[in-house]
Amino acid sequence: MRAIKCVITAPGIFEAVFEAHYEEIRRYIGRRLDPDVAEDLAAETFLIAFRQRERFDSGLGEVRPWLYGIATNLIGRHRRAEVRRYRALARTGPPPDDEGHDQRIVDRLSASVTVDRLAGALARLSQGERDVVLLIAYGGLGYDEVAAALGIASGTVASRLSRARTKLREVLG
Amino acid sequence: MNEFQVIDSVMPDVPPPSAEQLLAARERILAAAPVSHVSMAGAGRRSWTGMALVAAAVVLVVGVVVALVPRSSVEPVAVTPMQKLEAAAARLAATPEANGRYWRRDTEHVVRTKSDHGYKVEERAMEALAFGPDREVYGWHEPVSSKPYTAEDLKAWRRDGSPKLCPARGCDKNMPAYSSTDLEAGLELADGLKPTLTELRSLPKEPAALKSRLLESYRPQVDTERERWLKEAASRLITSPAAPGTRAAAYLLLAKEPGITVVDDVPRTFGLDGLALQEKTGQGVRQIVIDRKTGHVLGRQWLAPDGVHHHAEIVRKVGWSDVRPVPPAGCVRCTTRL
Repeated sequence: MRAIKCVITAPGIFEAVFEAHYEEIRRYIGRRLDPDVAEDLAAETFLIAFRQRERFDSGLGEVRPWLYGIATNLIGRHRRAEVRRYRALARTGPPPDDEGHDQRIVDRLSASVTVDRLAGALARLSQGERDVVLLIAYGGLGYDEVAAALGIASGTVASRLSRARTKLREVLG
Repeated sequence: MNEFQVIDSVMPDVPPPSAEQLLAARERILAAAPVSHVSMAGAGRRSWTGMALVAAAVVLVVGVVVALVPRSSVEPVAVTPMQKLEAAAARLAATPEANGRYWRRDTEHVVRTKSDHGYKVEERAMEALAFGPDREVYGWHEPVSSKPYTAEDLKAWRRDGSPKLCPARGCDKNMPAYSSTDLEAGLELADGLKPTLTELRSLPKEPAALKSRLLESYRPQVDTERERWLKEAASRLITSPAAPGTRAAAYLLLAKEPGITVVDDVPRTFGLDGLALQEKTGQGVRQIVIDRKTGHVLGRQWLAPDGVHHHAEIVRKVGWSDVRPVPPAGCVRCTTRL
Protein backbone atom coordinates (compact mmCIF):
# COMPACT_ATOMS: atom_id res chain seq x y z
CA MET A 1 0.00 0.00 0.00
CA ARG A 2 2.78 2.45 0.84
CA ALA A 3 4.30 2.01 -2.59
CA ILE A 4 1.28 3.65 -4.21
CA LYS A 5 2.13 7.01 -2.68
CA CYS A 6 5.57 6.75 -4.20
CA VAL A 7 4.19 5.59 -7.51
CA ILE A 8 1.83 8.52 -7.92
CA THR A 9 4.64 10.99 -7.32
CA ALA A 10 6.68 9.61 -10.19
CA PRO A 11 5.82 11.60 -13.35
CA GLY A 12 5.91 8.59 -15.66
CA ILE A 13 3.49 6.78 -13.40
CA PHE A 14 1.25 9.83 -13.20
CA GLU A 15 0.95 9.55 -16.95
CA ALA A 16 -0.05 5.90 -16.52
CA VAL A 17 -2.64 6.98 -13.93
CA PHE A 18 -4.03 9.45 -16.48
CA GLU A 19 -4.17 6.75 -19.16
CA ALA A 20 -5.87 4.31 -16.83
CA HIS A 21 -8.49 6.58 -15.30
CA TYR A 22 -9.13 9.68 -17.42
CA GLU A 23 -11.97 8.24 -19.48
CA GLU A 24 -13.88 6.83 -16.53
CA ILE A 25 -13.55 10.06 -14.53
CA ARG A 26 -14.74 12.06 -17.55
CA ARG A 27 -17.66 9.68 -17.97
CA TYR A 28 -18.59 9.93 -14.28
CA ILE A 29 -18.64 13.73 -14.44
CA GLY A 30 -20.46 13.74 -17.78
CA ARG A 31 -23.22 11.52 -16.44
CA ARG A 32 -23.74 13.73 -13.39
CA LEU A 33 -23.45 17.13 -15.04
CA ASP A 34 -23.21 17.59 -18.76
CA PRO A 35 -20.95 16.05 -21.39
CA ASP A 36 -19.92 19.57 -22.41
CA VAL A 37 -18.36 20.40 -19.04
CA ALA A 38 -17.04 16.87 -18.42
CA GLU A 39 -13.94 17.48 -20.51
CA ASP A 40 -12.89 20.53 -18.50
CA LEU A 41 -13.72 19.12 -15.09
CA ALA A 42 -12.00 15.80 -15.81
CA ALA A 43 -8.87 17.69 -16.81
CA GLU A 44 -9.23 19.82 -13.68
CA THR A 45 -9.51 16.63 -11.59
CA PHE A 46 -6.16 15.37 -12.84
CA LEU A 47 -4.49 18.76 -12.50
CA ILE A 48 -5.64 18.94 -8.87
CA ALA A 49 -4.50 15.34 -8.35
CA PHE A 50 -1.07 16.22 -9.69
CA ARG A 51 -0.79 19.37 -7.57
CA GLN A 52 -1.87 17.45 -4.48
CA ARG A 53 0.07 14.25 -5.22
CA GLU A 54 2.22 14.64 -2.12
CA ARG A 55 -0.94 14.72 -0.03
CA PHE A 56 -2.16 11.41 -1.43
CA ASP A 57 -2.17 8.96 1.43
CA SER A 58 -2.22 5.35 0.31
CA GLY A 59 -3.06 4.37 3.88
CA LEU A 60 -6.51 5.85 3.27
CA GLY A 61 -7.18 4.11 -0.03
CA GLU A 62 -6.20 3.57 -3.65
CA VAL A 63 -5.64 6.07 -6.46
CA ARG A 64 -8.99 5.43 -8.13
CA PRO A 65 -11.25 6.43 -5.20
CA TRP A 66 -8.97 9.40 -4.58
CA LEU A 67 -9.57 10.64 -8.14
CA TYR A 68 -13.32 10.04 -7.79
CA GLY A 69 -13.24 12.04 -4.58
CA ILE A 70 -11.63 15.02 -6.30
CA ALA A 71 -14.11 14.77 -9.18
CA THR A 72 -17.03 14.59 -6.73
CA ASN A 73 -15.81 17.73 -4.96
CA LEU A 74 -15.69 19.53 -8.30
CA ILE A 75 -19.20 18.32 -9.13
CA GLY A 76 -20.31 19.71 -5.75
CA ARG A 77 -19.47 23.20 -7.03
CA HIS A 78 -22.05 22.66 -9.76
CA ARG A 79 -24.75 21.08 -7.62
CA ARG A 80 -27.47 23.42 -8.86
CA ALA A 81 -26.65 22.53 -12.46
CA GLU A 82 -26.80 18.85 -11.57
CA VAL A 83 -30.23 19.13 -9.95
CA ARG A 84 -31.47 21.26 -12.87
CA ARG A 85 -30.36 18.51 -15.23
CA TYR A 86 -32.25 15.83 -13.32
CA ARG A 87 -35.37 17.99 -13.27
CA ALA A 88 -35.08 18.53 -17.01
CA LEU A 89 -34.69 14.78 -17.56
CA ALA A 90 -37.69 14.20 -15.32
CA ARG A 91 -39.75 16.47 -17.58
CA THR A 92 -38.47 15.39 -20.97
CA GLY A 93 -36.73 12.02 -20.63
CA PRO A 94 -33.26 11.33 -22.09
CA PRO A 95 -31.74 13.66 -24.69
CA PRO A 96 -32.24 12.42 -28.26
CA ASP A 97 -28.49 12.30 -28.87
CA ASP A 98 -27.80 10.06 -25.89
CA GLU A 99 -25.59 7.42 -27.50
CA GLY A 100 -26.94 4.60 -25.40
CA HIS A 101 -30.53 5.62 -25.87
CA ASP A 102 -31.28 3.38 -28.83
CA GLN A 103 -29.51 0.48 -27.25
CA ARG A 104 -31.42 0.77 -24.01
CA ILE A 105 -34.84 1.71 -25.30
CA VAL A 106 -36.11 -1.85 -25.22
CA ASP A 107 -34.70 -2.32 -21.72
CA ARG A 108 -36.55 0.73 -20.57
CA LEU A 109 -39.79 -0.29 -22.17
CA SER A 110 -39.61 -3.65 -20.49
CA ALA A 111 -38.41 -2.31 -17.16
CA SER A 112 -40.58 -0.56 -14.65
CA VAL A 113 -37.88 2.05 -14.06
CA THR A 114 -37.78 4.96 -16.47
CA VAL A 115 -35.29 7.79 -16.87
CA ASP A 116 -37.79 10.51 -15.99
CA ARG A 117 -38.91 8.87 -12.74
CA LEU A 118 -35.38 7.98 -11.71
CA ALA A 119 -34.06 11.46 -12.53
CA GLY A 120 -36.86 12.97 -10.44
CA ALA A 121 -35.91 10.73 -7.53
CA LEU A 122 -32.21 11.58 -7.82
CA ALA A 123 -33.09 15.29 -7.79
CA ARG A 124 -34.82 14.78 -4.43
CA LEU A 125 -31.71 13.31 -2.77
CA SER A 126 -29.39 15.52 -0.76
CA GLN A 127 -25.98 16.20 -2.31
CA GLY A 128 -24.27 13.83 0.15
CA GLU A 129 -26.75 11.05 -0.50
CA ARG A 130 -26.43 11.50 -4.26
CA ASP A 131 -22.62 11.40 -4.04
CA VAL A 132 -22.72 8.06 -2.24
CA VAL A 133 -25.31 6.49 -4.54
CA LEU A 134 -23.68 7.63 -7.79
CA LEU A 135 -20.12 6.80 -6.74
CA ILE A 136 -21.35 3.23 -6.33
CA ALA A 137 -23.67 3.18 -9.35
CA TYR A 138 -21.51 5.03 -11.89
CA GLY A 139 -18.04 4.56 -10.42
CA GLY A 140 -18.50 1.00 -9.22
CA LEU A 141 -16.81 1.90 -5.93
CA GLY A 142 -17.22 -0.29 -2.84
CA TYR A 143 -18.50 1.21 0.41
CA ASP A 144 -15.00 1.52 1.86
CA GLU A 145 -13.80 3.19 -1.31
CA VAL A 146 -16.70 5.66 -1.17
CA ALA A 147 -15.73 6.48 2.41
CA ALA A 148 -12.12 7.03 1.32
CA ALA A 149 -13.18 9.10 -1.71
CA LEU A 150 -15.39 11.45 0.30
CA GLY A 151 -13.24 11.47 3.43
CA ILE A 152 -16.11 10.28 5.62
CA ALA A 153 -16.59 7.33 7.95
CA SER A 154 -17.97 4.03 6.64
CA GLY A 155 -20.89 4.44 9.04
CA THR A 156 -21.75 7.75 7.40
CA VAL A 157 -21.73 6.06 4.00
CA ALA A 158 -24.12 3.42 5.33
CA SER A 159 -26.51 5.95 6.87
CA ARG A 160 -26.55 8.16 3.75
CA LEU A 161 -27.20 5.07 1.67
CA SER A 162 -30.00 3.98 3.93
CA ARG A 163 -31.71 7.38 3.66
CA ALA A 164 -31.18 7.43 -0.11
CA ARG A 165 -32.68 3.96 -0.47
CA THR A 166 -35.78 5.03 1.40
CA LYS A 167 -36.21 7.96 -0.98
CA LEU A 168 -35.49 5.87 -4.08
CA ARG A 169 -37.68 2.94 -3.04
CA GLU A 170 -40.75 4.41 -4.64
CA VAL A 171 -39.02 4.32 -8.03
CA LEU A 172 -36.74 1.31 -7.73
CA GLY A 173 -39.17 -0.87 -5.83
CA MET B 1 -29.69 -6.58 -11.13
CA ASN B 2 -29.42 -4.46 -7.98
CA GLU B 3 -30.53 -0.87 -7.56
CA PHE B 4 -27.12 0.56 -8.49
CA GLN B 5 -26.98 -1.47 -11.69
CA VAL B 6 -30.49 -0.23 -12.51
CA ILE B 7 -29.36 3.39 -12.08
CA ASP B 8 -26.24 2.67 -14.14
CA SER B 9 -28.19 1.07 -16.98
CA VAL B 10 -31.18 3.43 -17.06
CA MET B 11 -29.61 6.88 -16.71
CA PRO B 12 -28.19 8.50 -19.88
CA ASP B 13 -24.59 7.78 -20.70
CA VAL B 14 -22.03 10.03 -22.37
CA PRO B 15 -20.20 9.17 -25.59
CA PRO B 16 -16.50 8.36 -25.20
CA PRO B 17 -14.07 11.17 -26.09
CA SER B 18 -12.86 11.40 -29.66
CA ALA B 19 -9.18 10.75 -30.33
CA GLU B 20 -8.68 14.52 -30.73
CA GLN B 21 -10.37 15.30 -27.41
CA LEU B 22 -8.30 12.67 -25.66
CA LEU B 23 -5.09 13.97 -27.16
CA ALA B 24 -5.97 17.54 -26.18
CA ALA B 25 -6.75 16.52 -22.59
CA ARG B 26 -3.57 14.48 -22.42
CA GLU B 27 -1.44 17.38 -23.63
CA ARG B 28 -3.18 19.84 -21.32
CA ILE B 29 -2.69 17.71 -18.24
CA LEU B 30 0.76 16.35 -18.90
CA ALA B 31 2.00 19.80 -19.92
CA ALA B 32 1.10 20.93 -16.42
CA ALA B 33 2.87 17.96 -14.87
CA PRO B 34 6.36 18.09 -16.36
CA VAL B 35 9.21 15.94 -15.09
CA SER B 36 11.18 18.90 -13.74
CA HIS B 37 8.30 19.99 -11.52
CA VAL B 38 8.16 16.73 -9.65
CA SER B 39 9.08 17.28 -6.07
CA MET B 40 11.25 14.68 -4.49
CA ALA B 41 10.41 16.00 -1.02
CA GLY B 42 9.60 13.18 1.25
CA ALA B 43 11.88 10.76 -0.55
CA GLY B 44 13.81 10.27 2.62
CA ARG B 45 10.72 9.11 4.38
CA ARG B 46 10.09 6.33 1.88
CA SER B 47 10.74 2.79 2.93
CA TRP B 48 13.22 0.60 1.07
CA THR B 49 10.29 -1.54 -0.02
CA GLY B 50 8.57 1.50 -1.42
CA MET B 51 11.71 2.61 -3.19
CA ALA B 52 12.18 -0.83 -4.70
CA LEU B 53 8.63 -0.82 -5.98
CA VAL B 54 9.06 2.66 -7.43
CA ALA B 55 12.18 1.48 -9.15
CA ALA B 56 10.36 -1.56 -10.50
CA ALA B 57 7.47 0.59 -11.67
CA VAL B 58 9.77 3.09 -13.34
CA VAL B 59 11.70 0.28 -15.04
CA LEU B 60 8.39 -1.03 -16.35
CA VAL B 61 7.41 2.38 -17.67
CA VAL B 62 10.85 2.86 -19.19
CA GLY B 63 10.43 -0.57 -20.75
CA VAL B 64 7.13 0.52 -22.17
CA VAL B 65 8.65 3.70 -23.54
CA VAL B 66 11.59 1.80 -25.01
CA ALA B 67 9.15 -0.59 -26.64
CA LEU B 68 7.04 2.21 -28.10
CA VAL B 69 9.63 4.80 -29.08
CA PRO B 70 11.46 4.22 -32.36
CA ARG B 71 15.13 3.39 -31.81
CA SER B 72 16.32 5.81 -34.46
CA SER B 73 14.87 9.28 -34.72
CA VAL B 74 15.76 9.27 -38.41
CA GLU B 75 14.22 5.96 -39.36
CA PRO B 76 11.12 5.22 -37.26
CA VAL B 77 10.45 1.60 -36.42
CA ALA B 78 6.85 0.45 -36.67
CA VAL B 79 5.24 -0.51 -33.37
CA THR B 80 3.89 -4.00 -33.77
CA PRO B 81 0.76 -5.35 -32.08
CA MET B 82 3.04 -7.68 -30.09
CA GLN B 83 5.04 -4.71 -28.76
CA LYS B 84 1.79 -3.01 -27.81
CA LEU B 85 0.67 -6.15 -26.01
CA GLU B 86 3.97 -6.29 -24.10
CA ALA B 87 3.48 -2.66 -23.07
CA ALA B 88 -0.12 -3.31 -21.99
CA ALA B 89 0.97 -6.41 -20.05
CA ALA B 90 3.66 -4.36 -18.27
CA ARG B 91 1.04 -1.83 -17.24
CA LEU B 92 -1.27 -4.56 -15.96
CA ALA B 93 1.57 -6.21 -14.03
CA ALA B 94 2.33 -2.86 -12.36
CA THR B 95 -1.29 -2.35 -11.30
CA PRO B 96 -1.76 -2.32 -7.54
CA GLU B 97 -4.68 -4.53 -6.72
CA ALA B 98 -7.48 -3.39 -4.43
CA ASN B 99 -7.93 -5.29 -1.20
CA GLY B 100 -11.17 -6.94 -0.24
CA ARG B 101 -12.75 -10.12 1.00
CA TYR B 102 -14.75 -10.84 -2.13
CA TRP B 103 -13.67 -11.03 -5.75
CA ARG B 104 -16.46 -10.43 -8.25
CA ARG B 105 -16.75 -10.28 -12.02
CA ASP B 106 -19.83 -8.93 -13.84
CA THR B 107 -19.97 -9.84 -17.51
CA GLU B 108 -22.51 -8.77 -20.09
CA HIS B 109 -23.30 -11.52 -22.59
CA VAL B 110 -24.48 -10.41 -26.01
CA VAL B 111 -25.74 -12.89 -28.57
CA ARG B 112 -27.02 -12.08 -32.05
CA THR B 113 -29.62 -14.58 -33.13
CA LYS B 114 -33.11 -14.92 -34.59
CA SER B 115 -36.12 -14.53 -32.30
CA ASP B 116 -39.21 -16.71 -32.19
CA HIS B 117 -40.95 -13.94 -34.15
CA GLY B 118 -38.33 -14.13 -36.87
CA TYR B 119 -36.54 -10.80 -36.16
CA LYS B 120 -32.77 -10.65 -35.99
CA VAL B 121 -32.30 -9.81 -32.32
CA GLU B 122 -29.52 -8.99 -29.93
CA GLU B 123 -30.06 -10.78 -26.62
CA ARG B 124 -28.33 -9.31 -23.60
CA ALA B 125 -27.85 -10.86 -20.18
CA MET B 126 -25.72 -10.14 -17.12
CA GLU B 127 -23.66 -12.87 -15.56
CA ALA B 128 -22.04 -12.56 -12.15
CA LEU B 129 -19.36 -14.78 -10.65
CA ALA B 130 -17.83 -14.18 -7.21
CA PHE B 131 -15.62 -15.90 -4.66
CA GLY B 132 -15.65 -15.26 -0.93
CA PRO B 133 -13.22 -15.76 1.95
CA ASP B 134 -14.81 -18.98 3.24
CA ARG B 135 -14.65 -20.88 -0.06
CA GLU B 136 -18.11 -19.69 -1.02
CA VAL B 137 -18.91 -19.15 -4.70
CA TYR B 138 -21.72 -17.03 -6.14
CA GLY B 139 -22.85 -17.20 -9.73
CA TRP B 140 -25.98 -16.21 -11.57
CA HIS B 141 -27.24 -15.38 -15.04
CA GLU B 142 -29.92 -12.73 -15.49
CA PRO B 143 -31.56 -12.05 -18.88
CA VAL B 144 -31.81 -8.30 -19.53
CA SER B 145 -33.21 -7.60 -22.99
CA SER B 146 -33.89 -8.82 -26.50
CA LYS B 147 -34.12 -6.21 -29.22
CA PRO B 148 -33.91 -6.08 -33.00
CA TYR B 149 -30.48 -4.86 -34.09
CA THR B 150 -30.99 -4.05 -37.75
CA ALA B 151 -33.01 -1.08 -38.98
CA GLU B 152 -35.25 -3.39 -41.02
CA ASP B 153 -35.99 -5.70 -38.13
CA LEU B 154 -36.60 -2.78 -35.76
CA LYS B 155 -39.07 -1.37 -38.26
CA ALA B 156 -40.77 -4.75 -38.67
CA TRP B 157 -40.96 -5.20 -34.91
CA ARG B 158 -42.60 -1.77 -34.48
CA ARG B 159 -44.95 -2.49 -37.38
CA ASP B 160 -46.05 -5.66 -35.60
CA GLY B 161 -47.00 -3.67 -32.51
CA SER B 162 -43.68 -4.06 -30.63
CA PRO B 163 -44.39 -7.52 -29.19
CA LYS B 164 -42.54 -8.47 -26.03
CA LEU B 165 -39.31 -10.25 -26.95
CA CYS B 166 -37.82 -12.86 -24.65
CA PRO B 167 -35.54 -13.71 -22.94
CA ALA B 168 -35.56 -10.34 -21.22
CA ARG B 169 -36.15 -8.82 -17.82
CA GLY B 170 -39.70 -9.59 -16.69
CA CYS B 171 -40.26 -12.49 -19.10
CA ASP B 172 -40.10 -15.17 -16.42
CA LYS B 173 -41.44 -13.80 -13.17
CA ASN B 174 -40.85 -17.12 -11.38
CA MET B 175 -37.20 -17.27 -12.30
CA PRO B 176 -35.77 -13.80 -13.08
CA ALA B 177 -32.24 -15.20 -12.68
CA TYR B 178 -30.74 -18.65 -12.58
CA SER B 179 -27.54 -20.42 -11.65
CA SER B 180 -24.50 -19.61 -13.79
CA THR B 181 -22.71 -22.41 -15.60
CA ASP B 182 -19.44 -20.99 -14.21
CA LEU B 183 -20.64 -21.69 -10.67
CA GLU B 184 -19.89 -25.41 -10.81
CA ALA B 185 -16.56 -24.88 -12.56
CA GLY B 186 -15.46 -22.54 -9.75
CA LEU B 187 -11.74 -21.97 -10.08
CA GLU B 188 -11.13 -24.83 -12.50
CA LEU B 189 -8.76 -23.69 -15.24
CA ALA B 190 -8.70 -26.89 -17.30
CA ASP B 191 -9.36 -30.60 -16.96
CA GLY B 192 -7.41 -31.74 -13.88
CA LEU B 193 -6.32 -28.24 -12.87
CA LYS B 194 -8.47 -26.79 -10.12
CA PRO B 195 -6.35 -24.61 -7.81
CA THR B 196 -7.54 -23.12 -4.55
CA LEU B 197 -7.84 -19.34 -4.43
CA THR B 198 -4.53 -19.15 -2.54
CA GLU B 199 -2.78 -21.39 -5.10
CA LEU B 200 -4.26 -19.35 -7.95
CA ARG B 201 -3.04 -16.10 -6.40
CA SER B 202 0.50 -17.44 -6.04
CA LEU B 203 0.97 -18.64 -9.63
CA PRO B 204 4.16 -17.37 -11.36
CA LYS B 205 4.22 -13.91 -12.91
CA GLU B 206 6.65 -14.74 -15.68
CA PRO B 207 5.37 -16.44 -18.89
CA ALA B 208 7.83 -19.36 -19.09
CA ALA B 209 7.54 -20.15 -15.38
CA LEU B 210 3.75 -19.91 -15.59
CA LYS B 211 3.67 -22.28 -18.55
CA SER B 212 5.82 -24.84 -16.70
CA ARG B 213 3.69 -24.59 -13.57
CA LEU B 214 0.43 -25.05 -15.50
CA LEU B 215 1.78 -28.00 -17.49
CA GLU B 216 2.74 -29.78 -14.26
CA SER B 217 -0.99 -30.52 -13.93
CA TYR B 218 -1.43 -31.85 -17.45
CA ARG B 219 -2.09 -35.57 -17.64
CA PRO B 220 -1.88 -37.24 -21.11
CA GLN B 221 -4.91 -39.37 -20.29
CA VAL B 222 -7.27 -36.34 -20.35
CA ASP B 223 -9.30 -35.97 -23.52
CA THR B 224 -7.73 -32.65 -24.58
CA GLU B 225 -4.37 -32.56 -26.32
CA ARG B 226 -1.57 -30.70 -24.52
CA GLU B 227 -1.50 -27.51 -26.60
CA ARG B 228 -5.28 -27.03 -26.48
CA TRP B 229 -5.32 -27.81 -22.74
CA LEU B 230 -2.66 -25.13 -22.04
CA LYS B 231 -4.51 -22.52 -24.12
CA GLU B 232 -7.73 -23.24 -22.24
CA ALA B 233 -6.03 -22.95 -18.86
CA ALA B 234 -4.26 -19.66 -19.74
CA SER B 235 -7.44 -18.20 -21.29
CA ARG B 236 -9.46 -18.89 -18.14
CA LEU B 237 -6.65 -17.47 -16.01
CA ILE B 238 -7.04 -14.10 -17.74
CA THR B 239 -10.53 -13.54 -16.35
CA SER B 240 -9.91 -15.23 -12.99
CA PRO B 241 -8.97 -13.70 -9.60
CA ALA B 242 -5.27 -14.40 -10.35
CA ALA B 243 -2.77 -11.63 -9.48
CA PRO B 244 -2.31 -8.90 -12.14
CA GLY B 245 1.25 -10.12 -12.84
CA THR B 246 0.00 -13.66 -13.47
CA ARG B 247 -2.74 -12.44 -15.80
CA ALA B 248 -0.19 -10.33 -17.69
CA ALA B 249 2.08 -13.37 -17.99
CA ALA B 250 -0.88 -15.38 -19.34
CA TYR B 251 -1.27 -12.82 -22.18
CA LEU B 252 2.36 -13.24 -23.20
CA LEU B 253 2.19 -17.01 -22.81
CA LEU B 254 -0.83 -17.21 -25.10
CA ALA B 255 0.66 -14.79 -27.63
CA LYS B 256 3.55 -17.19 -28.19
CA GLU B 257 1.40 -20.30 -28.56
CA PRO B 258 1.00 -21.70 -32.09
CA GLY B 259 -2.18 -20.61 -33.85
CA ILE B 260 -2.59 -17.43 -31.78
CA THR B 261 -1.83 -14.02 -33.25
CA VAL B 262 -1.91 -10.55 -31.73
CA VAL B 263 -4.04 -8.09 -33.72
CA ASP B 264 -4.79 -4.41 -33.27
CA ASP B 265 -7.76 -3.90 -35.58
CA VAL B 266 -10.65 -5.77 -34.02
CA PRO B 267 -14.15 -4.96 -35.31
CA ARG B 268 -16.11 -2.90 -32.77
CA THR B 269 -19.49 -4.50 -33.33
CA PHE B 270 -20.02 -4.94 -29.59
CA GLY B 271 -18.03 -1.90 -28.50
CA LEU B 272 -14.86 -3.80 -27.64
CA ASP B 273 -11.89 -1.70 -28.70
CA GLY B 274 -8.41 -2.93 -27.95
CA LEU B 275 -5.65 -5.35 -28.80
CA ALA B 276 -6.72 -8.93 -29.28
CA LEU B 277 -5.28 -12.37 -28.87
CA GLN B 278 -6.88 -14.03 -31.86
CA GLU B 279 -7.26 -17.70 -32.59
CA LYS B 280 -8.95 -19.42 -35.53
CA THR B 281 -11.01 -22.41 -34.51
CA GLY B 282 -13.25 -24.80 -36.39
CA GLN B 283 -16.24 -22.58 -35.61
CA GLY B 284 -14.65 -19.29 -36.65
CA VAL B 285 -12.43 -16.82 -34.81
CA ARG B 286 -12.17 -16.17 -31.08
CA GLN B 287 -10.73 -12.88 -29.84
CA ILE B 288 -9.70 -11.99 -26.29
CA VAL B 289 -9.74 -8.19 -26.29
CA ILE B 290 -7.34 -6.28 -24.04
CA ASP B 291 -7.31 -2.58 -23.17
CA ARG B 292 -4.27 -0.99 -24.81
CA LYS B 293 -3.73 1.48 -21.99
CA THR B 294 -4.37 -0.47 -18.81
CA GLY B 295 -3.81 -4.04 -19.94
CA HIS B 296 -7.09 -5.16 -18.37
CA VAL B 297 -9.14 -7.67 -20.30
CA LEU B 298 -12.20 -6.03 -21.89
CA GLY B 299 -13.95 -9.18 -23.00
CA ARG B 300 -14.12 -11.90 -25.60
CA GLN B 301 -15.89 -12.04 -28.92
CA TRP B 302 -16.51 -14.66 -31.54
CA LEU B 303 -16.76 -14.29 -35.31
CA ALA B 304 -18.45 -16.78 -37.59
CA PRO B 305 -16.36 -18.16 -40.49
CA ASP B 306 -17.91 -15.47 -42.73
CA GLY B 307 -16.46 -12.77 -40.43
CA VAL B 308 -19.74 -11.74 -38.81
CA HIS B 309 -19.73 -11.19 -35.06
CA HIS B 310 -22.33 -13.25 -33.29
CA HIS B 311 -21.39 -13.43 -29.63
CA ALA B 312 -19.49 -11.38 -27.05
CA GLU B 313 -18.79 -11.46 -23.34
CA ILE B 314 -17.99 -7.95 -22.14
CA VAL B 315 -16.40 -7.54 -18.73
CA ARG B 316 -18.31 -4.69 -17.08
CA LYS B 317 -16.81 -4.81 -13.61
CA VAL B 318 -14.17 -6.95 -11.99
CA GLY B 319 -12.16 -6.74 -8.78
CA TRP B 320 -12.01 -7.09 -5.02
CA SER B 321 -14.21 -5.43 -2.40
CA ASP B 322 -15.71 -6.09 0.99
CA VAL B 323 -19.24 -6.16 -0.39
CA ARG B 324 -20.78 -9.61 -0.11
CA PRO B 325 -22.51 -10.52 -3.38
CA VAL B 326 -26.26 -10.97 -3.07
CA PRO B 327 -27.91 -13.11 -5.75
CA PRO B 328 -31.20 -11.72 -7.15
CA ALA B 329 -34.35 -12.67 -5.28
CA GLY B 330 -35.69 -16.03 -6.39
CA CYS B 331 -32.33 -17.20 -7.77
CA VAL B 332 -32.13 -20.92 -7.02
CA ARG B 333 -28.78 -22.66 -6.38
CA CYS B 334 -26.84 -19.48 -7.09
CA THR B 335 -24.34 -20.06 -4.27
CA THR B 336 -22.17 -23.02 -3.38
CA ARG B 337 -18.80 -23.80 -1.82
CA LEU B 338 -15.53 -24.75 -3.49
